[in-house]
Amino acid sequence: MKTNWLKPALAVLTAATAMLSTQTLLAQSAPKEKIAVVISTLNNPWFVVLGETAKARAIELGYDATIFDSQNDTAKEAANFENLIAAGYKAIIFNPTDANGSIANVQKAKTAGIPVFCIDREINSTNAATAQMLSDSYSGCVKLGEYFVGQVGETGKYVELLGIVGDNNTWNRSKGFHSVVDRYPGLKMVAQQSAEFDRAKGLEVLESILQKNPDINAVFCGNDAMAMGAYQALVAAGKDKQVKVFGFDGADDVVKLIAEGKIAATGMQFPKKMARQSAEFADQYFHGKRDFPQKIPVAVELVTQENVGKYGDYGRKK
Amino acid sequence: MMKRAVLAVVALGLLAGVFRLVPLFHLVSLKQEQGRQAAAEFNATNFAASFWNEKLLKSLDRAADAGQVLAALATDPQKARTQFGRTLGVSSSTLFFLRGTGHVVSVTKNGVSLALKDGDGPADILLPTGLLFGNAVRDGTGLLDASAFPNSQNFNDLSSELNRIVETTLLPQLREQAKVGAKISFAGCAELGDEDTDVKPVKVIPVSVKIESLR
Repeated sequence: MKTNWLKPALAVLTAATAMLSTQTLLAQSAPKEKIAVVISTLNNPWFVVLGETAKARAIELGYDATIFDSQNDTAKEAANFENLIAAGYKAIIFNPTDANGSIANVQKAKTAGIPVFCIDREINSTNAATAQMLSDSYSGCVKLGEYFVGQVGETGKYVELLGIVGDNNTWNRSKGFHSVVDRYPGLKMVAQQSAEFDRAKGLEVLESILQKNPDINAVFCGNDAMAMGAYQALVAAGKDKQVKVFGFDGADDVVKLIAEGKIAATGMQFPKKMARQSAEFADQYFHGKRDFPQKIPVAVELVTQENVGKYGDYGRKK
Repeated sequence: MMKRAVLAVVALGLLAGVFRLVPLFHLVSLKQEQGRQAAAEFNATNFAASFWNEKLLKSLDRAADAGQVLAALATDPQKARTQFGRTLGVSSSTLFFLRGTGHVVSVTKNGVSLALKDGDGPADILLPTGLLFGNAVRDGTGLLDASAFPNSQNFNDLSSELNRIVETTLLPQLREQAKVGAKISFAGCAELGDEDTDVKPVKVIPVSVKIESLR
């Protein structure tokens, strides 16, 4: 009598165990979902940190992640999107090269059913990306502008080095800065020129401007790479003690120069925080979340010689 | 020889025609590019004026009582920030939309200081009367959403326009009439950083000011 129910029970148990083992094996051998991290340029340490942090967080969360470099070229960026869509990537963490020019790429991914999470830079659309986590460049440069006036004074001559003209961040930074500085008629901008967010171009452009304007008091740069280039140009011209340099990004080399009293200030953008959050958004998407806010401003903090001790490693010190 | 010259001229003409139709490059000034970037149809001045009249001034009753918020900030800052404030995106700052009535305890070049309770002070609120910068008015009420603006430049232009409205419509009256002892009702926006512990006087950018009595 006993064996009558014991045999079927054992059979069920064996079958269940076999099913569980098969499922475990399948789970172990199932390929991980792939996340692409498309970065505008890796020719700038700040963006390298942005991309590497997003990749590392995606891997921590259990995904395969690969970085694609768009080399600040929308054509290269379009090719990256074609390739990663064809290669079966399931989500894209995206740092666009051009606010308008990059919309088509995001739209293409959306059509293919791939969520795109923009970081740092935006696209001029609210219905293509799944979410956009953006540095609040404007507000950061309002703070920088107020500090600039405090440091330089209400009269003086200055130069502005702009970033890439097709990028909204370039203009948000410039407009935030000018929303303050232009209210002081004694502050004269003697030159405004693009150095494309590039250190070497920052050096080259400021060298050329200094030849015509040797008596400037300050340089406002739309990012820290250009600020480093501008500072090099000033050192070469023997003017680094008399001209104050202001950057934007919170790059480690500039934060160090602020601590040494060589650069006046920068805006800390928290690239690691944005990158980690975007990878977490992708993970949440895979787990069913769909109601992401479209544009999420990330506050920028002013880093000066007075508070520089609190900052480092692309953020606030823990 | 003549024939080759004619052919060369024709070829050059054709090339010129092709390049005219499909130019190899365009020269674009920075200003033009900036203009292209800002959406052509967006007019920040009109949008700000409409928002000010149609939404903001009709929402003053949503502002929290300044005295209550200051008391809460003194007791439990974190709870007060959660209960009465809001944060835009990812930020360590908290924005408040406040209203109240107080009397002027001092007037300086920085602004008008108010005490909310009777007596000579200390000042609880500072209504600035100089140049205004930043996004407190745009973001403090929670009535505007960054996600509604495809181009963040438009959203940012609103800040300047709203600050300009405050500077031109409210501050002249405040500078002229706010003397020590005057009673003033106000509504406005404030921003506090996470490291702001001693918050008084809280800088409130006014969106509404009413001089209740001169002394």
